[in-house]
Amino acid sequence: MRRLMSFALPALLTLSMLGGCTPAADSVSPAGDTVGEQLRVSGSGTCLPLIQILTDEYTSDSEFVFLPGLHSGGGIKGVANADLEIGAVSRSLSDDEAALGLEYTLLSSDGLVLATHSSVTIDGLSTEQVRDIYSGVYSNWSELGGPDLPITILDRNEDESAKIILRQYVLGPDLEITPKAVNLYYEPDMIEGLQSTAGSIGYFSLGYGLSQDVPVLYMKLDGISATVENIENGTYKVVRPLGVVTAEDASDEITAFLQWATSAEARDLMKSQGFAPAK
Amino acid sequence: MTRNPFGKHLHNQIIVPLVVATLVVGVMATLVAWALLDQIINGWIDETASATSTGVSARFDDKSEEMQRAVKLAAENSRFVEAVQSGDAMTISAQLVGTSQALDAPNPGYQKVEASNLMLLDEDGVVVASTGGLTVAPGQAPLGDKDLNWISLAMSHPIMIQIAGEETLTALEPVKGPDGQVYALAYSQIIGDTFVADFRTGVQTGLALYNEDLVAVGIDIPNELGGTSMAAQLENPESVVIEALRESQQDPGLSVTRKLVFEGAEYRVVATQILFENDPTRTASYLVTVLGTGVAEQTRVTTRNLIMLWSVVAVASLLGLNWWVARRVSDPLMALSQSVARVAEGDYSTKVAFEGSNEVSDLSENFNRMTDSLRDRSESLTKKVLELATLYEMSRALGSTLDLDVLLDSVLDSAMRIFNVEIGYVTLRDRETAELHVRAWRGGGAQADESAVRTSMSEWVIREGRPLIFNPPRDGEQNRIDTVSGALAALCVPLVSTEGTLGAITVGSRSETQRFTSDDVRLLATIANHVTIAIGNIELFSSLQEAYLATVRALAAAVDAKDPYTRGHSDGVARLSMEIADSMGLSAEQRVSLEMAAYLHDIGKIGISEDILLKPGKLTDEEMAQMRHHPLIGANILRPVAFPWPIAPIVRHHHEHYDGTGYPAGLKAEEIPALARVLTVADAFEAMVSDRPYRKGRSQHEAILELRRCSGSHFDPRVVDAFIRVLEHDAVDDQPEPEDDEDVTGVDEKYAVCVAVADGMISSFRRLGGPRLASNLEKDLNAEFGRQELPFTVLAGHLSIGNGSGVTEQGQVEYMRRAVAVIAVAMERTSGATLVEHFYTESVDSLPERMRLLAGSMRLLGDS
Repeated sequence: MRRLMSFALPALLTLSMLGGCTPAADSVSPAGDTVGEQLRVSGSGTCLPLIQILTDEYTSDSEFVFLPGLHSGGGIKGVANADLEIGAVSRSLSDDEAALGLEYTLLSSDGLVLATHSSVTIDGLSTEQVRDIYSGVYSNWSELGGPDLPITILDRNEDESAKIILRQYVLGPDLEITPKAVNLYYEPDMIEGLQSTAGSIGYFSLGYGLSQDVPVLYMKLDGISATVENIENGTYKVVRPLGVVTAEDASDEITAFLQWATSAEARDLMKSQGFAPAK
Repeated sequence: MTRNPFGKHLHNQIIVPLVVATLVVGVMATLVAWALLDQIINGWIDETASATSTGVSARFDDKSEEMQRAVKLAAENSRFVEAVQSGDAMTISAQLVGTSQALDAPNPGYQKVEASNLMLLDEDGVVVASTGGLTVAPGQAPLGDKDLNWISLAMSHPIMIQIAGEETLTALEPVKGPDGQVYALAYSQIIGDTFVADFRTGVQTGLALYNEDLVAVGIDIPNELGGTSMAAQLENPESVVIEALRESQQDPGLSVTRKLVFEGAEYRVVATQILFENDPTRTASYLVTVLGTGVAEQTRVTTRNLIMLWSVVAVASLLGLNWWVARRVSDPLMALSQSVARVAEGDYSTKVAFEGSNEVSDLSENFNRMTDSLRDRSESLTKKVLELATLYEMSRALGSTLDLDVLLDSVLDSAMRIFNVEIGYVTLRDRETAELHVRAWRGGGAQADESAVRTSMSEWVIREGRPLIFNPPRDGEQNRIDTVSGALAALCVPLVSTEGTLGAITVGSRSETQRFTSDDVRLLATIANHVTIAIGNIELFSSLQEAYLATVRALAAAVDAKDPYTRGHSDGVARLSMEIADSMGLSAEQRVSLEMAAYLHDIGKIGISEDILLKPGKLTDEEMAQMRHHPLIGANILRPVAFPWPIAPIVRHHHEHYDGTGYPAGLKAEEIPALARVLTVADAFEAMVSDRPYRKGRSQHEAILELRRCSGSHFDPRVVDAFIRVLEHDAVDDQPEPEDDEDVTGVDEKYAVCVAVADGMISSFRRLGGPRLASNLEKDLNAEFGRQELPFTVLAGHLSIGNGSGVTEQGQVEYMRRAVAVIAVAMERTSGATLVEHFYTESVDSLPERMRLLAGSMRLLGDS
């Protein structure tokens, strides 16, 4: 058979040579032309992984295109300017934003969890201790009963939804953050810094951490573990609303997707990935 | 025509060298192409391997430079510098994290495996702060006890160094520390499989990086090249890879290429040393590039097959072309050769035909012209031969007959055959009346009357003594027709002897296409000369014969005068003898002999005494003895006379008895001359029935009874039978002929006639056509007999008859006719219809008269 093929192949080649070169059909045609519309998605870096999880499971003719993160505000502006079909939002809409006349759909209440590098050997912190760390009261984990390691404080900008939520539930609005802390611009930076720097402390999305199995140490806050159950039963309070904004006159494709995203099936999916589904 | 070209030498001589040459060239070209292909493919593989290796090295260099630039930028960052100068570990660490994220920032996004590390070292090489994939805690000295003076120098290139148990590529940049110290910022990439994977260029390339001790620190092999098992091979110190690395170690800057055969596939391995020019530690590392040759091999196989295919196609078409050319050359030659062979066998009707207008078709045209000309010459030659043969036959006939009518008929037949006309006649002038008579006539129709003859061309010719030709009129010519025969074309020549013109011979045809020429005049004049001479001879002979007969009658009268009792006896015996001769079908010559002998048979009585001769009553024994001398005396008297016929023996033995009791010699049966036996019967009968002075003659009936009684003793029974037939015939004079010739003739005799005719025809044919044509004719005849299922075969010119029993006589005669018809058709095919008739006539003419008549009655050659 192999021998036959090795004779047949040149014969075919010859034929095609004789027949002239037919232009190789460019089989990669724009997906939008043949399979529905392209749905552009962007916005909050915290929320995008959730939408990613959902769209991965959603079967549709439409193609979801993820553009680089723009933060929640960027997502909202994008939908308002019709640059995006779906904007990812990980906070409540401001009054100005609500006035734009967009449709907001809440998908999940994501826990915000405080975490440390795995070299830190304590399992929980109180709200007070967190405030003291971020205000620069402690400089070494040994002061908090941990190993002899300098504390490396990782923080986010004040306009980030994570920081806003953290201030809302833990730090309080007026706490002055020590200059020894470093501001990181993206949540992945935060997670990477936590993984790779001994003695570091920071905070990020619980759903993200659980769904991606990030090897860091999650801190109990005031003795309460950050779990999906605790979020659902309301004992763990530090949560962020993860949702999407869409245009009011959104296409049927988007409507169908949002309907599915709020269905029981999607809720189970979110829950299994560490995102507490919206109530 | 044989159409097997491979049986012919020429075809093979053309095609075999061409086939051999084509095959040799085809095989050579294929082999050369394959060798070139191998060279090109190998060159291509080596080139690709070398280029890949160089490309990877270049990328490695680029990566290093990029790291160096990045760490330099980070070290110059003012916030970071501030943090370092503050000396506060928390700040430094936090800024280090921020810087680290900035360094890794080009592709924001989560990387699960952290492969880079950033750390700050103080002047003693002790870690101040660290973030990233290396597990180094503050306070450790990861660079060990190396001389770290170079750290303080401005460095322009990363180094390969082992930190915290990991092979790293580390870029160092001095940073001003607190109190005027110089710290160093170390940006490391952990060299592992992932690191190496960044440099890979495609699925057909595998990479491995080795440290100074030739231990593999990072291996990236795609599954297409064997994945982990190949990786194991690269780590195996026994493999050619390590060998290549050692060679590369000994000669830095040299790329060492090796062929690696692994799990049945072939790979190229290129080992290169990577040595950074500005690396103060001068640590060397080694890069191994593994390149799969699968695509190249596939290309090689495909191209090989393609070359092979084209070679086969080319050789096949060339072979076809060779065959065609060989056929084009050899076919015409074969056809010509066969045609020439047929011409050599005497078939001049052979033609060859080739299409087109090249030398070969010219040749075929010339060949056809040649055979046409050969056929014409052959035909004219045959005609000449026929003329000569006919002339010869005619002159023989002229010499062999003394009968004028037979002679003229024979001459006319011959002449008509020579000129191929249907009319011929001879006009003779009567010596006494000088009137013209048509003496011999051939050509059907009624003979012309005297008046027509008087105004005919013959009359003019005889009067003028010159030949005359009438030919069918052409345009503007007067229409002249021979009044005697009505022939449109006629040729008349005079028969001129020394005594003047005897007559004229005329041949002619009613066909408008017949034309006579001066050649024909000459030919007919020659015939006419022969005829004139022959007529002279006949006249001479007949006058001689008459003279003899007159003499003989005179002698017979003398005998009668001597013996008045037997007056008229000789005349009677002569008459009876002639009747018997007629009945027995004797030849003219025998008849004349017999007649003469009959007149003279008793001439011996002249020598017998008249006393005895005229004595009435019984003779004494003495007298009888005297009397018995008369035949001998007669013979003695006649012996001196030079008769042209043997008369004396007949006379001598006319008293012999069939049983040997006669006299004078006492001969028996066949010993007695045949004519003497006839004469004996006639003599006895005449004597019996004649009246004598002393007795009355017996009646004819009594005489017949007596003849019968003595048949076989005294007389030859056949003669007696013939004689009695004559007598009975006379008795029932006007009774119709009771039976036809054919009926009384046995079928055996008919067969004999048929065989004689056929043999004669074949022999005539052989005389004209030669032995080769005759032998071909025999083959044709036997084939045709076999086809028509006739019971005949021809062997060596002789017709043999197989078993014809079970067929009626009429059927057998029909067989004979068909056999002769087959012979005629076969001859006609070879020589033409006229010649067939000639052969037939010649054959029949040579038969004895009885057979000739029988042959005529059997109508063997159709109705001709």
